[in-house]
Amino acid sequence: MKPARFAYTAPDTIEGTLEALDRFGDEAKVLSGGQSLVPMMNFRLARPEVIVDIGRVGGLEQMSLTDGALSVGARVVHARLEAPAVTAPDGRSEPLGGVLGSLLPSVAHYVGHLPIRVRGTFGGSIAHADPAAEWCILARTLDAEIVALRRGSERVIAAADFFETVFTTALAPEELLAAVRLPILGDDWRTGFCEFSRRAGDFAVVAAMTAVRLDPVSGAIVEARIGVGGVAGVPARLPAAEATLRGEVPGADLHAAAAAAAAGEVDPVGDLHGSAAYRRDLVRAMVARALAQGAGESGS
Amino acid sequence: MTEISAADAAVPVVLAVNGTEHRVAVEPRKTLADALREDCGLTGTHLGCEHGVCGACTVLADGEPVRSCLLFAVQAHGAEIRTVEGLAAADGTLHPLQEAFWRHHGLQCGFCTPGFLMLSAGVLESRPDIGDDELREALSSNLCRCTGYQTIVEAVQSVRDAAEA
Repeated sequence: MKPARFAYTAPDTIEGTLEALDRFGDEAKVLSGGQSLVPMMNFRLARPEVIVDIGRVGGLEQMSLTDGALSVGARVVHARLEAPAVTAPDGRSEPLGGVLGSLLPSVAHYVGHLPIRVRGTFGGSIAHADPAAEWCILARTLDAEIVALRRGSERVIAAADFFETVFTTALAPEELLAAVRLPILGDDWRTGFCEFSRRAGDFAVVAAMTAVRLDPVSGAIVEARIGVGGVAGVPARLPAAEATLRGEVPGADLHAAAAAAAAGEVDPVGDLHGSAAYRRDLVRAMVARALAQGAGESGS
Repeated sequence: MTEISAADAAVPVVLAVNGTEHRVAVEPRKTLADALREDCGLTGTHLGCEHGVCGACTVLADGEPVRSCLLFAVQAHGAEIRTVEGLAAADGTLHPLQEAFWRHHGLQCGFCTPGFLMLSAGVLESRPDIGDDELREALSSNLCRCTGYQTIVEAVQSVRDAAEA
């Protein structure tokens, strides 16, 4: 229950971090909040040769609105998303409003326990790529963009291409996840997030996020997104269930039909936290509740 | 190039614990919990699971409750750490939370108590008016195998209520 030996470096600049990652390649692992990596190191499931601690790097803790997106710096801790504030161009901090402003706290609340939320980071969670992690589901559902830096270059990876399988992402060993860009949702979006776990703070057995955009005149759904975690190696989008919603007006019957389609669309694997059939039923229940939440109903 | 500390190097780290500076030399892999116990001689911080589940090792780092088994001592360099040894006054007068845990039977074997005390201290200092439901949820961060939690919740509630009154 003690980690294996590792060499350690704590650069104070992004440039220094990229140099270290470039030098050590796949021998290195980035340490952000450490709330997922360190347990794995203590179990010796992870045995990095070199730890590159980004805890002293400046410039990774910003949240700002740019080009229609909310940019969340890699080192923003979960607790900050419980009351998200953005840095305005004049340097002042102001509360994040709008749909994301109320969505993010409702999701952040599900992440681990308080001591995890004050240390663990948004970027760390995305890079760790646990298929049941709340932020990974959110990133996949909203088609977030992941900003990856390496020495001398930058690239932007779509969430759909980023999550490859359990704990595995498109990030190269030399790359640093610097920020995640979440698209700003207009006031015509309705979102919901619902998670089932045995106890508060546990990993989700199944979690679902829904986001629908309504036609301002007809009230019908013009765009629908449903993402679930806990049923596959990566957070999954459910296109058949999304198609059920498109063109229809939100309501209990429609939500039930979409939830049934979602349950039919997933192919979960059973484990000791729940059989495949149980998880499938949870998908139905979580999707229905998330849709009801978005529509302002209490759900069932 | 930023300095690299070798895996078997003794890295000099300054830990400010309960207002006292401890200059220690630790391998990079040494957790804050082990450094507190072995290098600072502060064995009040207990280690249960060592993977961030039980919360027995909870201390305050810059005012926030953290699991000291998930933090390397090298990361804590420069942070203000508070442990259970820093709760009581110098003359031995117990902290109100310690009094309350005693009065409400918020402990039996006592193993989890330092972690619960520091978690509670961190929660009440940042949220003195925290509601019952949120308090319960915050306290669910840590595990206790003796009390059944109710007495711990009551102890912390009583301190919150006394401070508010």
